[in-house]
Amino acid sequence: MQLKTGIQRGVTLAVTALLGVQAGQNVLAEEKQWDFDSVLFTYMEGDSRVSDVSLRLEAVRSGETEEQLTLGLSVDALSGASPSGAIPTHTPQTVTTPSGNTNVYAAELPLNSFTDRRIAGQAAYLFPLGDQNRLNTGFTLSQEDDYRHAGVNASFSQDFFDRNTTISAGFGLSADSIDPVDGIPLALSNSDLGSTTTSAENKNVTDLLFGVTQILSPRSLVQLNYGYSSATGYLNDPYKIISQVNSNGVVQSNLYENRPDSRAGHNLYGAIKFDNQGDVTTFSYRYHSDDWDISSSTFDLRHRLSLGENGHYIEPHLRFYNQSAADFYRLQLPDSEAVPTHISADYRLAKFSAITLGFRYGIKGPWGNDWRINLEYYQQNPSDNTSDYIDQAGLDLNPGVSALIFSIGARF
Amino acid sequence: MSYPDRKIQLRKHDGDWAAGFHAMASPCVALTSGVDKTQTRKIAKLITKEVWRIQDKYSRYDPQSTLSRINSRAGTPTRVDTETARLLDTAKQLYAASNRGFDITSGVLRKAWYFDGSDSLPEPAEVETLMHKVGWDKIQWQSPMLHLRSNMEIDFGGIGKEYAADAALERVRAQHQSPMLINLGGDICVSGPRQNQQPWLIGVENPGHPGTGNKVIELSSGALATSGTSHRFVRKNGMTYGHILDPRTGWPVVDAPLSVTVAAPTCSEAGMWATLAMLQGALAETFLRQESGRQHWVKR
Repeated sequence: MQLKTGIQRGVTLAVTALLGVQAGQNVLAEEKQWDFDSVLFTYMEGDSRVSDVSLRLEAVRSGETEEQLTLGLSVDALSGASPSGAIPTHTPQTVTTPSGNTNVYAAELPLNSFTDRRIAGQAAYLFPLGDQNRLNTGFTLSQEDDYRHAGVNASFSQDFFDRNTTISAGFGLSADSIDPVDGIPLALSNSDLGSTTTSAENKNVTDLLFGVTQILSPRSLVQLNYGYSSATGYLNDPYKIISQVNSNGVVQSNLYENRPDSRAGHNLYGAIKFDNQGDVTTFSYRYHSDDWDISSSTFDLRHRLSLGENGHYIEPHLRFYNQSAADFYRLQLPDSEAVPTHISADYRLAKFSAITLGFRYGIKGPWGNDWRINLEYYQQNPSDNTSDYIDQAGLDLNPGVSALIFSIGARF
Repeated sequence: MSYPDRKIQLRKHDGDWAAGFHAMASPCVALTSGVDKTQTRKIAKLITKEVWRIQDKYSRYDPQSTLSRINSRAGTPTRVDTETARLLDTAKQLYAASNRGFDITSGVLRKAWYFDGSDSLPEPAEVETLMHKVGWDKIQWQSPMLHLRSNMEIDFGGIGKEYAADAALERVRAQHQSPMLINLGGDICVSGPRQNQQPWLIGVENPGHPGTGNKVIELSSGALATSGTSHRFVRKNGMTYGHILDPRTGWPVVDAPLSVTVAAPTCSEAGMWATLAMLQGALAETFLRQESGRQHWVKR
């Protein structure tokens, strides 16, 4: 039996004086070791294009001090069709691509049908180094039918001024490999001829991140991040093609796209958060600029509104996005023009703006478990989607994409 | 006096019932497990009756309270009731165990310190003057007779809330055997595990960074109490002065943790360890580890 210290004896006497002798009382308290978060996520594009059903699980183990282990797993089932890059036409045509069917109907946007499964895992470990600093390390792995990814990352954070200021610096490295079922197509070759090579291609990405978080008051904070990202290797989308058209705008052939084999870009991110007695407003702005000539701005506003003591809340969400086109982006290519080295008709590289409207409803219990339902609508609005070719009159060459995103999540 | 804010609000909570109420300047809740709304209301009525009774009896604001009448008789010997005598015996033991750090006469220091986030520090002379009114050793206490020096006053702010939680649980347990939890502004005690033998899950907030780094404690029996500097501070010349005052100096404890949470068989004991640890400042963790023999969680 452990002997009581003098102070222990004093506290025991004080408790006895207050409450009398407490017979048979004991304490059974344990720190909860694991926290789990699970989300069922669905993403559905309009016009029955891409749909994604995803299940995501995350487990966080908190240690005695501040160390923390995070494990994540997600499984996705993707299916549907995405624009191939070929333009719609009034004349029916048939095209095949390495990924399987390309369905082309008169006056409709040519789409590539596909199905894919994705499984991804991640692990992260947070070490407290000293009282005011910590190291976060992690790795990520994912596997799709035609894509593999492996990455490592690490970041260091240091607190200053009573922990009111935190500065962090980190890096990420990833090595990906692209291996389409029917091989890698030969860039800029005629897609109708189906010329492919069989070997897989690789892509490497390096990210650097620097950030500052400043607590302004007990109820507000600002965050500023700068990121540099550099990708090298095979950056094409092996399923994307571009149409060559004659002087009337009739498709003559479709060529596989070709992008530069490197891309480097800068990101600047600023966010400000206000907590007004449980009603939290978050505004953020992100600026991106890269050597493909794409620059983009993202404005994001969320406001969490508490609904009474039981922890119910609603959170409307508004996001506005705007990007310029890549310098090698073309809607289509006149056949009178020499084929440039780099060219793509991928709608994601076009000039467009997009708006997201979202709504979250959450229920939070004092046990620390919380449930949330999220519904978002995304609408992309491309800037250039018409041409003055006779044969393309009345066609929408890039209708953009709209999507409905629904998720239900629980933390326990 | 009438109390328009003395309401009990029942709400469904995780398939069980929660009764919210306000007491001792804090949001409070009583949780039941495996019983219906009517039973929960009965349990909550018993709990609040006891908590509000203790609050009224030892209120510093109500001139008619037992505490106010004791303080108004400073300078003359006063006979106190049994419950007050137990509180005073407790205060005496804690004063000794804490090497004079826990002192129920130190409330007057609040007249000099305003922890409003500003940079207004009191004049050292002002603190010095008030210190003449601080010190349990200046009091004559021989149960049931209390003799306060004139101008001195006492309050039970340091143990009142935890004592009320224990007392309320004791009272309601005599009549109801169903599982329950009492939370008086973060001072928590439970009657045992929940209906399905599962522990009660209690979140510990990270005071400096609300909503981040929260730990969850699974409590099956006993109690938890938390002492913290929360957001109450004064800042001057790069120094932050937290609101835990050291009665021995009249100044805030240097390098006090943001919060200390302790698990113990009773809420009163948990609260005593949490308060005593706070007074240790930078040595809070060492103190708890070497002296308390209780599980604890310290946030800095």
